[in-house]
Amino acid sequence: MELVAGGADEAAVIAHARRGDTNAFGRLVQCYQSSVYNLAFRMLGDGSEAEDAAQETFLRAYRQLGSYQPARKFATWLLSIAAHYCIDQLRRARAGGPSLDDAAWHDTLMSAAPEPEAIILERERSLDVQALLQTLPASYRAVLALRYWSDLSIAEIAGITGDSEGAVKVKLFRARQVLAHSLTQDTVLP
Amino acid sequence: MTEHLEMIAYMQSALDGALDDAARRLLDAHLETCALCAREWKALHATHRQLSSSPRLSAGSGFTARVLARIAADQRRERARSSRVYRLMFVAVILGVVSAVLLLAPLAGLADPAVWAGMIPDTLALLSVAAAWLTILMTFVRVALEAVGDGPLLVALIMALGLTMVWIRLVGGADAFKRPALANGG
Repeated sequence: MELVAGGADEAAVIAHARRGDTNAFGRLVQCYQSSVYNLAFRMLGDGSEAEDAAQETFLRAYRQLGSYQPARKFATWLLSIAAHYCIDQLRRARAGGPSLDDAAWHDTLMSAAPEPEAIILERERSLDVQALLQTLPASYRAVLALRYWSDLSIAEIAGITGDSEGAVKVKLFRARQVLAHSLTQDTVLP
Repeated sequence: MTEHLEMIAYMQSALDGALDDAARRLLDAHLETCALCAREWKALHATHRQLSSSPRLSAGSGFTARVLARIAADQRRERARSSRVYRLMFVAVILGVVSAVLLLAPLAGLADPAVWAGMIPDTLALLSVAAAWLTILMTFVRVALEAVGDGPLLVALIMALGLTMVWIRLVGGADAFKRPALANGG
């Protein structure tokens, strides 16, 4: 049976995983892979790096399951590992920009739009956003990714990044402003 | 100016869905009269829409299997490391016992001083034994450190040197050895 994030049986599955049940951990991976992968992709900007970062996140989560406090939301704990790993990766000053021609991108779009034209338009818009994201500092990117692609609240983001809620709001504010100014430079707003 | 800053804060709250009705009315009223803020709001709102509608991606098929395979490989590595640690700990214990015997025997009267004096007849012999003792100690400390983590060579060297100096001072300075040993040597 498919595990629902934050659902009633999640605690039991986590408890099994903590006892070394890799099948139970597999259910957690299945449930949270999209959130972790999206965060990694939005932060790193490259499909293969995001895949590697997502795998590394789950590996670290498995190793650290013993230190997980059940009182904490599992998604927040997991995304915290992912965000810190991605920030570390970005700090290692990767050479080169994001791979916007990543062939995997097209295949992995989860958009349900059936029309090819709509898919292409959507993809172009997403690539614009993705390219602009790469111009932001890592911590700003993390805050945006957690807000928009992980649907977390300000308080949850603060719990992940270790910032105060005020600092998260300021980062969101500045990141949106930078993106807004960049996006409006070349496009006509609706 | 203060009003503009306040309105920009309202805009951010509105985007996060955290603006109450009264504040929303104030913002709307301000946007009708302030072209600067209206332009800012339009840009921010468009950005917010674009970010919100940007699609979620999937890691691709087989991701879970790849993660589980990586975990299995990690567990194999960890088991191999643990096994190596146990072997190192065993060697460390043996070397530790040898070191302790070498250090304590002449001092605790566990051996006949005459025998030790015969084995270490002069300063050169004392230094040779000390070198051997240093090697054993170095190996012991390194193995012990590697068993509990990454063993830095420098720490092992300093600890072994310190203990060797103590050993030389104790053995070379003991009456049983001093007279025949150091007298013969120099």
